[in-house]
Amino acid sequence: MSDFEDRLAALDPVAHQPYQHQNLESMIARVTQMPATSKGRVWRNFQLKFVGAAVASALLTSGAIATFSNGPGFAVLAIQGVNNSPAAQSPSAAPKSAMEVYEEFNFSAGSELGTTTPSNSSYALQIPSNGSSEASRVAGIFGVSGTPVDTNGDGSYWTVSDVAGNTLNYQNSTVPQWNFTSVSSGAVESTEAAAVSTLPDHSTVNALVQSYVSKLGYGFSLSSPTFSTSTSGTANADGSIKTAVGQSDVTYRVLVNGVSSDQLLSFSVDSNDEVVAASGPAFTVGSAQNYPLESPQAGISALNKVQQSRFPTNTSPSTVPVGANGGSSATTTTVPSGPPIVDVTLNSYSLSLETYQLRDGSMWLLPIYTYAGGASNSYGTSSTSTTWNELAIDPTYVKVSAASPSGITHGVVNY
Amino acid sequence: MGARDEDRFARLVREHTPAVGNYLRRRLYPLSADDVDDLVEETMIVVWRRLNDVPSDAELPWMIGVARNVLRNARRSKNRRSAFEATLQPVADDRSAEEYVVADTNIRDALASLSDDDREFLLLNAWDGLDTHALGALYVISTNAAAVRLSRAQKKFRELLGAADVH
Repeated sequence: MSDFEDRLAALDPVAHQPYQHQNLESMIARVTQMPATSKGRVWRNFQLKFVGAAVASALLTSGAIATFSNGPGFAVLAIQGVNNSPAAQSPSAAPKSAMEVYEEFNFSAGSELGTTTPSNSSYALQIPSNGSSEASRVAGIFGVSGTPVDTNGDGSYWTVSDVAGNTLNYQNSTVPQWNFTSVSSGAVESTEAAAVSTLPDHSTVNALVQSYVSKLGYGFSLSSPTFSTSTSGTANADGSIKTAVGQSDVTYRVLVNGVSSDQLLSFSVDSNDEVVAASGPAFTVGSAQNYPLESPQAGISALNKVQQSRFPTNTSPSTVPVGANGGSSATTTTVPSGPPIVDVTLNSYSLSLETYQLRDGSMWLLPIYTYAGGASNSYGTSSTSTTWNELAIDPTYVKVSAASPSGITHGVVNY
Repeated sequence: MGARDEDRFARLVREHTPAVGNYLRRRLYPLSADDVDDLVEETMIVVWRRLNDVPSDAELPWMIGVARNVLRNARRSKNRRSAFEATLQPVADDRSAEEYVVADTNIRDALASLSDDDREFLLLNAWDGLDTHALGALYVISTNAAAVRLSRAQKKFRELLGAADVH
């Protein structure tokens, strides 16, 4: 091992106490009793991560927003960036040494994709103009009385706390996010099972959430809830449970006119039917703007164009170590400097709304295609659970700069 | 699900639970034994439900991919609950972070200076023991592409560490 590998290994936080499940066979028995449905308990879709793949930020434009006289009168969307992409960075912030895409995708439309172009509206978001006031208002809804404190000193983050320790934080970002935390804990039980059994049922939790959503006044409609439970507590010296407190956790997607967005609302409720934690966005939507969409097939072509522009022909080979841990004892092989091509057949798509920031600073919910399909690499591994996103709006209405830095595209790979 | 599926699932769990649990503990710290067990069970529930999708030649990277998503949800819950948990007594088997402080601040700084992607790639190899074959399976890229990426992450890390050591 090299010196840096030794030092890295020494930093391994679990090196001194490797993990051992407390009762593995019991877990196996418990899990195999569960029905083999297709959805996970906490989350829905397993998605393999393509690290360093296409960033969703579109480009700064060089011109002002213009209206096409021949079009149906829509203003061109001069997009600054995607708000919630997992790997979103502004072009100016991306360092030159940042991870580049290591694989080139060759997308094709599967026969099941269909040929009809759907329609879906776009929406400008109305963001609260005063972060401090909004923090105070939301805090009041959750029963937190206090003066908002400008935590960072720049108006970007407000905190309202009361003497008991209940807190409302308000992040005054592109799409502001609030989160509430209570110090209450519900009934303390002696076992985890008991802690969970005292929790309110799903309909009670849902009703409670809906009442808060109504009070918040953003006009959200919500998707079907995703429920889970969690417990925390104390343990005896031998590791057995001493006390346990349960909470019912629920997450919703914010819907706009029935269409799922990338904004989430989450609540946690204790055995006393009290909200112990909650979080969500702060915005209302403007009127629907019916920008024409490109066809799903055109979206796939756009994904391919981005790949082709990112990987120009390069004939210089390079030699890299290949083998376990890439260590010095590994054999070497020459590989082409261009990445291997991964063939992706996209068989289906869904439409949803994603937040984008325009160059003028305004925030919009714009329709995106999320394509699903099968990917296979030269190793032979295939995946049927990977997804790719592409802005669905007809490119005529989306202005991007010709001098875009590499790695910036409409399309984004879903983690 | 038949008996054969149960057998396969049980084998997967017995064989890979330590690695999955260690993966989770390395990334969400501190965590009580019960919490790790819960996250591992969340992961294994998905493995059970997606048993037919687990590639026979890349079982561990596939399961780590599942654990990654479980971890993402757990992080969101942990952040929400942090003030709530401050009112509870500390769990007996929790260790303080100080017990794990290593004086090698240079290596910590070098890790922190890497991009999230580089750091994850490096540590999946160095800590979680995924070789280029397994990394390729996890990210659905070729083994060669994984080797290139790992090599570059290691090179970058050595450069950062070298600079930190000089200072």
